[in-house]
Amino acid sequence: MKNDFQLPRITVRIIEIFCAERWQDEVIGDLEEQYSENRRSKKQWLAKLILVWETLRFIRPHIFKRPQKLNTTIMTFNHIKISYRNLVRNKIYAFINVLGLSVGIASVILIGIYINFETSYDKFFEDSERIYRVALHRIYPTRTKDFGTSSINISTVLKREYPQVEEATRLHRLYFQNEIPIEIEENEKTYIETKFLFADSLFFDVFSYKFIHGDPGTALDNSESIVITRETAIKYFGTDDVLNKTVRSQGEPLQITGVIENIPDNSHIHFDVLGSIASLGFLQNAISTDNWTSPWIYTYIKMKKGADPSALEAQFDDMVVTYGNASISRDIGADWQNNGHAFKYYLQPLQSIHLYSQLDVEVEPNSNISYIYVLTAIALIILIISSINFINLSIARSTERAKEVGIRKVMGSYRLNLINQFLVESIFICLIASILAIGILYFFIPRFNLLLGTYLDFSIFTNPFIILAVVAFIFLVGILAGLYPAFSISALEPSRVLKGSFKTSSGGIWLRNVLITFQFLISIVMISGSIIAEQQMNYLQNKNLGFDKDNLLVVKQSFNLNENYQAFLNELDAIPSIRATGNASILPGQFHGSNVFAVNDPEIPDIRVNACNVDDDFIDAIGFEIVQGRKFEEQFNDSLSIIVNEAAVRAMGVENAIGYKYHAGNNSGTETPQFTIVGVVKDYNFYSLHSEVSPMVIFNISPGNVASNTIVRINSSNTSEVISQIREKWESLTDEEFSYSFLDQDLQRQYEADQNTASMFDIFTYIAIIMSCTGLFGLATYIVNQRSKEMSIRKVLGASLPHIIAVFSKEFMILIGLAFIIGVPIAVYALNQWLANFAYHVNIGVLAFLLAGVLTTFLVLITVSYQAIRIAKVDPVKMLRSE
Amino acid sequence: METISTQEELILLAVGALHPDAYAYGIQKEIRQQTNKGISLGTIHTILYRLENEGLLKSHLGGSSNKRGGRSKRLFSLTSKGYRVAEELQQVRQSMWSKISPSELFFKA
Repeated sequence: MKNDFQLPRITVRIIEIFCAERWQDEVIGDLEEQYSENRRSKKQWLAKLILVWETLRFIRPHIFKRPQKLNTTIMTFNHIKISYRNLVRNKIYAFINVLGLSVGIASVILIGIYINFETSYDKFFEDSERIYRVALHRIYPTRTKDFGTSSINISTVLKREYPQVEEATRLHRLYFQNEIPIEIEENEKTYIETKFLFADSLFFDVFSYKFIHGDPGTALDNSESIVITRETAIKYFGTDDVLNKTVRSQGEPLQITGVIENIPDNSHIHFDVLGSIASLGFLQNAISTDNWTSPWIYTYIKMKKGADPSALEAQFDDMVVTYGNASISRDIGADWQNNGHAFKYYLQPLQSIHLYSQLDVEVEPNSNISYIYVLTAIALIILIISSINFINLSIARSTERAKEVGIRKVMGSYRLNLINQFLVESIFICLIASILAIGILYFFIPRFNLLLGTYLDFSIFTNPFIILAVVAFIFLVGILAGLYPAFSISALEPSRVLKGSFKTSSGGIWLRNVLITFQFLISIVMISGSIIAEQQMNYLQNKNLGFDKDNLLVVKQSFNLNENYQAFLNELDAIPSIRATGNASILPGQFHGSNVFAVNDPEIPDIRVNACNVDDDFIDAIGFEIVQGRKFEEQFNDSLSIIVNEAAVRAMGVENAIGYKYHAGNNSGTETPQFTIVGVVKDYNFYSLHSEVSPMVIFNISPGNVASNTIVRINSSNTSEVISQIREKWESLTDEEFSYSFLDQDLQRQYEADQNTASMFDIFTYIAIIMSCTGLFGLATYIVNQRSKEMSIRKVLGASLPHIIAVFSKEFMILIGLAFIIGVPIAVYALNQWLANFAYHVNIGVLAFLLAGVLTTFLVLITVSYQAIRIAKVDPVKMLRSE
Repeated sequence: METISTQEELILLAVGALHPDAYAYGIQKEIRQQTNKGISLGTIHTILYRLENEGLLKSHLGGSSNKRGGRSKRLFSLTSKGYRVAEELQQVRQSMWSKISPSELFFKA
């Protein structure tokens, strides 16, 4: 039926664009009828004008298009329903997909929270972006050293002479004494404080700590003032209202002039008690003598708004010469600059200290930005593995889904609709996985914190920004993981699919193989990585340190016994299970102070040495080996004798160091004693195995003096009984608190960060392996199902079970081999990087890689044979009957 | 009482009047004849669908003609609810109209 007056095409197009499909026909019909009648009854131009007007009046998409939106919503719900049915129909597939993804997402969110925490350090201080620490790159004639500390006199000069510096303050940590007793007279208790720092009166002008009681402006004005945290106040007095109360430390009264809120975990400075540096005599002495050589103090400055820190840094060299020359010349000679000495000061932004600063003297051990990189990589790897599982399973299942796609296409579905459907499906699965992931996190965050010593908090999920980020992340993962299946499956031709001639495309298999190889590669790298990390951890624990760290009890604060100390030792000797005792100022693992060591021979260069003081019995008790000369002995007067270690002898560059004399002290005007080297001790690791043994000088404790640590060598059995016996003796001789530790545990604490890294690596290795295996399991299921007919025919023709397993495994074995070849160099490279952190480390052996390869192969074999056996057990008749 | 706009009422009535052959273009012609006012097809379609959505009208696709280029038309008819609404409106108007006395309105002032 043809009309004489058809509508112009443009009209039809406009209606098609602006009018919902289901109404187009009748609308165009009406327009055409009207138009043809008008053409008959009216002039042509008038009819056309009317048509234009009428057509334009249809442009109201808010009405005519609306129902189509409804349609999308309905289809989306339909897609979700279909996804749900697909999941329920195939439970193994659903389990692997959802669980795998949820573990992946949980890992990523967890690592995300961790990174968020690690990068938030010190940002809570007001104006934290304007606060800097003055650090020192110290150049000596033969070496360099990096200090987080600086000269005590820098801050006053900076504040006074440099207008771009708004405020400057000083912070000090006592290194020679980690434990400071605080006595509370009210309740007659003594607490041992390990977080006792010292600052000057300007500290709170730079750092905006929240005061609950007291005035930040004047809190540290007096030398006997202390500021404590709320937690500490409650520990001491049971209340935070403790302003102006007095406590005693080592006989001196201290007045509480401020109580602050507890310090957030994400700060590089933590103290329970903050005293005044004016109470420390040696610091006051350093101020009054205008000392510029001893970096004893952390200097923090707040720059004025808009001031350029690099411009200030550029003036530092001149500053050292202008203000420090007198002091430096006095201490290390007037021509220090020509002799190769230099003091290079620079600024560290406060916010960067936690992640970027690994100097020799830090307030607290900092983290490292490389951990953040490694973790980010691990998070991505786990996410990639779970996405690969998702993609692989989708490709494997495309045979099954192909019929559905074919039918949908025959029924008039566009490709876009199908892509839409698969994306909705993958987002839906992601959503379920995420809900599960958040459940997993809720359960695991406290354990994670416990295991790794972190301070992560689940409550971060109440932050709307985080929620938004997580939702965006879910969609991102859903779309990325669903993209390939969506495009590949939706591209299938219905005619071929429905005829049943469909097989997974070769492109799909190729991609699948690449992805599987990648997974194997990750497994091999991570397994070998954790094996070597484990070996290194064992090595750290079991390496001979040059002394016997086991069964060694340390009684702390022994000086509290004073004149009763000898009596205490005598009592201990009477206990049969105690084999030996000794007294030392500093034990291996603790911070050793250092000083310049120059002997009475101009040929021998000055060296930097660490030092400690021990009594006559100590060397035997701890088990040091004397390689030359003698140890301290009672029959000699050894108060002016010293023992050096082999490293010191090497640094001096002499064959025989015995007999050289050392002139101590560089304070002019005071009588300085002269020491003689009487023995050489075999190198022992007094610091962690991260660093080489450096030169050490051991001084003798003169009779009548008592140093902090008493070591007690005990028999391994009934430890707790021995401890209670020692406690009994202690308490019979003094009222002070008895505190002790085990040396091996103290030493182990040096490797906490390494242990954490290793544990974290272990955890994620397990996750990665489990996820790879589950993915493989799902994949094997489908491959075996696909080839079930082939296997049945093989069986009928006489193939044995091992043969069938071999047929299935062969393909995977090739992929493992490939992964092994690529993975080993990657692992070797990465592990070498990590092991370079340790001066003493294991060598990377072949064993770890072999083990990783064998383990991966073994897991693949188990997975594949399980499926192969399942199919091989089925009666071939059943398989082949239906065609 | 359901209230609808004058335009809607007009179209509702036209559907009733043209039964069983009420479709958009026919309605447009009827209204032009009765009121001498033109309503665009777009408006009529919009109102028809809206009334149908509200349950006052029902529709089915009906016969086509050469003039329409072979396209079928959508034929509308009143539902019982639609009839009731039209009837109610009529009654309300009547009862209110009966209270208006023109003599008082125009001559008393």
